[in-house]
Amino acid sequence: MAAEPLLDPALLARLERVQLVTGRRLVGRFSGEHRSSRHGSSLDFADYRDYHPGDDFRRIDYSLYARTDQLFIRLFEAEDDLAVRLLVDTSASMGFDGKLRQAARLAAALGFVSLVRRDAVQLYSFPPGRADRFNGRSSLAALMHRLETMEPAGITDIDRAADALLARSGPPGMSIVISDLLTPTWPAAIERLPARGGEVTVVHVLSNAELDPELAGDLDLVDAESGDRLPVSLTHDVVADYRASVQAWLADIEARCAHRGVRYVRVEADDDIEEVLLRSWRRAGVVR
Amino acid sequence: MRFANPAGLALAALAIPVIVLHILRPRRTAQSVSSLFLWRSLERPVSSARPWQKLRWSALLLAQLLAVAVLAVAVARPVRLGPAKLAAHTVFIIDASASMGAIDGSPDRMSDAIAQAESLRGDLPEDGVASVVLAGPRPRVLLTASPDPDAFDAALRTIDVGEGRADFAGAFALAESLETGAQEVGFILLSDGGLTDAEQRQQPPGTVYRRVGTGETNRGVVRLTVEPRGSSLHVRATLGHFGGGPSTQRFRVDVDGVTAHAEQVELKPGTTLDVETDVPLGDRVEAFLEGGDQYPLDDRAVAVAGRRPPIDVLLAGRTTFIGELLAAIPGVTVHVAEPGAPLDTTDIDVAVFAETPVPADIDVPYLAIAPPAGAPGVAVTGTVDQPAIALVRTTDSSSPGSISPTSEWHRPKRRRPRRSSPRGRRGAPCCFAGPDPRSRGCTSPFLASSNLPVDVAFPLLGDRILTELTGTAQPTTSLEVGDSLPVPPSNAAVVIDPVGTERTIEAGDSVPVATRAGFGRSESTARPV
Repeated sequence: MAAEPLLDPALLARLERVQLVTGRRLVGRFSGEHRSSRHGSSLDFADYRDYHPGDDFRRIDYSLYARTDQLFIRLFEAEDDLAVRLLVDTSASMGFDGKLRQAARLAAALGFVSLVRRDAVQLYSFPPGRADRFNGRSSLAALMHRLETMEPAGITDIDRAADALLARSGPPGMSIVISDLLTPTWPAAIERLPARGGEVTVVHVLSNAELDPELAGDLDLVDAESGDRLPVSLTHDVVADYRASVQAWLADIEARCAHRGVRYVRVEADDDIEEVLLRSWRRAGVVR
Repeated sequence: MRFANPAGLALAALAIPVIVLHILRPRRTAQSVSSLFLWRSLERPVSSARPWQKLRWSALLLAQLLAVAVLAVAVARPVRLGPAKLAAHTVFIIDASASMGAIDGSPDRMSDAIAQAESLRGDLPEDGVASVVLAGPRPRVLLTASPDPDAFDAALRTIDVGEGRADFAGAFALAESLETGAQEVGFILLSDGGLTDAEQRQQPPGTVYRRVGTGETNRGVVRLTVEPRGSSLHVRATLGHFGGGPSTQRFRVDVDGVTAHAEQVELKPGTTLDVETDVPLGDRVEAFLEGGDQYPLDDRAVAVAGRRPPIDVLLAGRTTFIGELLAAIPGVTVHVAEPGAPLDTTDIDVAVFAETPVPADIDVPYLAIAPPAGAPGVAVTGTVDQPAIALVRTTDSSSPGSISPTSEWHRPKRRRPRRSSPRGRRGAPCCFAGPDPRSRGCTSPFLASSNLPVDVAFPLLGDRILTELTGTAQPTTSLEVGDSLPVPPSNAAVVIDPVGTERTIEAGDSVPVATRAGFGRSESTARPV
């Protein structure tokens, strides 16, 4: 029996019309469908500038020369591709309650949206830190396979992943981090990710069990990543304290992201992917 | 409702560990979570480090407590006691052992047993009959299948508490012998217990046991022995503590009715204490453990200082050494025979012939030492060079034994109807005794020439030879009720028990036994013993 595909064909058909939204113009490497901050050769007029010897004289606006007796070059807007970097957290904690599956589906959707728009997609999973580049619609199958074969293991080391991302060359593009951020190093990572330039989006994937645990009694909580144990006596008050602590943590993440210009969206593991992509994220301006 | 095994209710204590298990905190269950990152931020996530928690009533706890209760009650075997229907022929076996005299009854256990028997007698069915068997030291039937209540009561009134152990086996056998087969027979044992396992197995089938007496406080004199030691008597008493708490009591020894020793003794439960003391010479020694307990009968023990009656010895022949030997034996009076004169054995208990012939008509027990021509019925066949002293006593006084110079000896063959002809080791000294008291005799070829210490070995040997010849064995210093009295089986005797009842024992009768604690007396036809 074949495994269920990450995205069903109907959703893929709808995603054909979806496009990633960038808040500002980003320079790409190749020609694409995203307006770039540089001038290019599109049909959309952008500006004039003085003619300098060596400029393409075919861009000289002679009408303007007739009126002003000065040579001006017509500038057009450039449309570049978008370098999309998907950082997917595959630590052991993502293996709980279908979080990694949800992350893979989100990455697949974002990758699909990017590839059909001829954007370059770089998939970076951590740990242990493996990067693969995908270009064009033809690499969709490889991307899907790569996402489907991810296994949860290791410790969430988002700080190190941020370092690796910053060290890579290429246009700034858009960096999308898909993680549960269950690590004490998350503030440092959020602080550093925008340093490369471009746009950063944090997709925070959590499970309902993490937001609203239904545990009670005397338990030895075992960390799935480190194996550490924490004896707890979960009374009603302790669980309420935990919920309050989680809400404070989420608010802190949101505030830090806003402060650093990082777009922040939260997705629960059992959220409907179509609802998330086509409604919630549209409203949030992640896609259009 | 009562319980057949009340000790089983102790199992209810299992409820304690059950409750403790519910109070103790269970071992924490391992719960895997995605990360402890968020949990570590909580303050005091562990409510308490104490190993116990508040008891929470649950169905499981109640079920476990219920199971414990059911188990305890089941093991305790609840019973409902109802009136027992007596058989048409009911045999009442009444324990008359000494312990039935314990004063924890009304006034003693025997009174309670008699009252219970009278009460149970009223439960007999119409036309029912009752028998009474007394389980004393000598079991006997007091009443046989009588329908008459007055006869039953009269039989009970004859019961007196004995002073020894009850012969339950005999009593049960007697009770079963009353079964005729014509009527249904039932047995009721009224006792304060103390039956051995073997005795319990010997109970007639279906015997109903009715216990009397509940108290267990008892201290007593377990054993009393007396032995002459120089110019005094050495008394050794063993005191026992059989029930009740520790106690300090006064222990007293009377000699011939006069207190000769008293001391405080501390008795610990379940232990015995040996007390030894020397008291002045006397005949009757009584030991008392003063202080009240529920069984006064064993607070007194009696013993006699075993002393042999005086012995008159007629000595003939060489008198130098053997005269000194006999004179060294306490209680022996030596009469020296005139050489050549006829022997006068009047009031003589034993005659000694030292290196002189033994007359053929000698009519008293004699000791022949190196007789030149042997003794009547005994031929001298040789001598030994290095004799050693040994005494071999046979348990059968009617058959001869021998005194052998070595440990190797031969039991002589009997040659009836002739006088016994002992043949020990060649040349060895020997003693012999026939059915006639006058036929006792000893021969010894070496007493006159031995170099063994006279003051050590020979007085003992001489004493024993005289004792053997005269039949005046020292009486046992202490007897238990039920023990055989020290009456020579071959002599007629009169036995006087401690309360003055005389009983004549003819020669050949069975040896009488002590029936009461106290000082009795027995006299043979020849001399008092």
